[in-house]
Amino acid sequence: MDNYFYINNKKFFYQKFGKGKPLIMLHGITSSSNTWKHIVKTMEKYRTIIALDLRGHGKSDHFSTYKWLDFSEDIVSIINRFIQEPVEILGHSLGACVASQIAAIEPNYIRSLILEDPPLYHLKRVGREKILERFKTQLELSKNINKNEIFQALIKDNKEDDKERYKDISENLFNLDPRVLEETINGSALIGFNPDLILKKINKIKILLIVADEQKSGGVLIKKEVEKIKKILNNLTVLFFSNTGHNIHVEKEDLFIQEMRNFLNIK
Amino acid sequence: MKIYEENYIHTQDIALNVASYEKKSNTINILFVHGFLERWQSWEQTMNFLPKHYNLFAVDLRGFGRSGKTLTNHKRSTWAKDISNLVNILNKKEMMLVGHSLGGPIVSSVAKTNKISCVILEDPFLGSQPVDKTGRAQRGKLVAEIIDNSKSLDEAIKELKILRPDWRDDIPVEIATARKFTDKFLLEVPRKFDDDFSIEEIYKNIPCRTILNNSNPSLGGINSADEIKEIKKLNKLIEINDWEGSGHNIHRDFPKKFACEIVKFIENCNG
Repeated sequence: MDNYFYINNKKFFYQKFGKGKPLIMLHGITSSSNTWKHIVKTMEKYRTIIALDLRGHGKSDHFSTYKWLDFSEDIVSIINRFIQEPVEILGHSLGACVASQIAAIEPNYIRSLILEDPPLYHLKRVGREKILERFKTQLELSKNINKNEIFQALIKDNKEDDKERYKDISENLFNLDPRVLEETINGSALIGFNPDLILKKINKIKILLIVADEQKSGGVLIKKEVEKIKKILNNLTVLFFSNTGHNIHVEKEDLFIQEMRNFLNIK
Repeated sequence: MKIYEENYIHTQDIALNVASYEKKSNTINILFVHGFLERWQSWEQTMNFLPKHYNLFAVDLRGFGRSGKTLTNHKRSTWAKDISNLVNILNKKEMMLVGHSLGGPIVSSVAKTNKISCVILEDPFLGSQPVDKTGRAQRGKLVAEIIDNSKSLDEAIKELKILRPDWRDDIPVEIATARKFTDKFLLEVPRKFDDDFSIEEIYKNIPCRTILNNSNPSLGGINSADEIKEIKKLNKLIEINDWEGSGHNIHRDFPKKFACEIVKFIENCNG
């Protein structure tokens, strides 16, 4: 079911499925709640799933700033006002960083976290130039307001014959506020985002960390960083997906679901 | 990104600064008219999002930006006359007008006297005392004082950033620059220009399809729900498009979404 949460007159789009304990799903940068559509089909049998579009993404409203802290505070308000019970959160990439920050702000709201390849230290480590290079095409396309032109550009640049996927991506880029990317690229989005402090504050929470292969395209956590995280978090399970890129839940869908079920004790 | 060419266009008694992005083959023509204390650059981000096959024009109203000064004896109708002259000089087969705030009644009035295919209004001035639920007037006064008392533009921008850390970086730059470019006569409070405009008549007589992008008064919009209802009653050609999540300056805060709405409306306009 499609719906909106309203916070201070601003609307946040969400899709709700299934019933049971609440599980919030947070997508990565430039993406939308649609990224979970396959995983939802299995998980809705066991949980009430609330898949949200972050501010500036999908069908949610655009805002004047896109700090990672802003994304977190939006979701804190939504849990506080509309969900009103502790939640599990599955977050991918930016969504995983946002999920950890939510837990740091309100640990009592959280049952457990599933963090899929969170770029906790990535931006600082690789620097602005590399980030710009990574997002250049998406930034360019997000400034086009003709969905079909975005789609044509995407299939021209990619040989993969997966039209449905590129349709989703063009829809996402059409909806995206380009400032989301601009602020992340120029670094202003990270003001107030302190990964060490966040980890310290969430060190008792039950967490599953799923890590992509740093050698493959787009992996954002390196071994050294994972070791550091292991030392701080006391209730942590780490899974390495070898030979898998940054979009683990898309690339290795079945295995991903299996590991989620194990972690959440779903038989 | 688009490159805009700025030119002076001479109407009967004044040189108007007009920015344009124009290709001969293009058939859709849009002219943007800014609000009080602004200048054409206010539209630049929105214009950048619009399709390459649109011809775009944005004007500095008399007394603002790089257009000629007003000095004295200025009336609201003078601005409308200027824009009407400009539309005649541009002489396009199809012309669409976009007006924000003060630009709203101006483009609406031009639509009556010139051949205009559609009008897009953004939180337009409707003639009554603007609603101020958020202390906008007070904040505006503070911003004005900071800019007027600062020794340089840089200093003004720095001070504004301290006053409004919530603003995006380009906003204080644009606000301070636009104000520094404004004719001193127009900055005097209380405002000295006479009102010889029947705003009600103007909206009643818009002869073409019109969309009114309505800001939320709780976030700084200047029109109440009742006033919007009245306008709707006045002229059935006016459609209302509510922006629940936006204050007075929709195009500045949400340039991409505003550009999308323009395209949506215009493509409809052409059938």
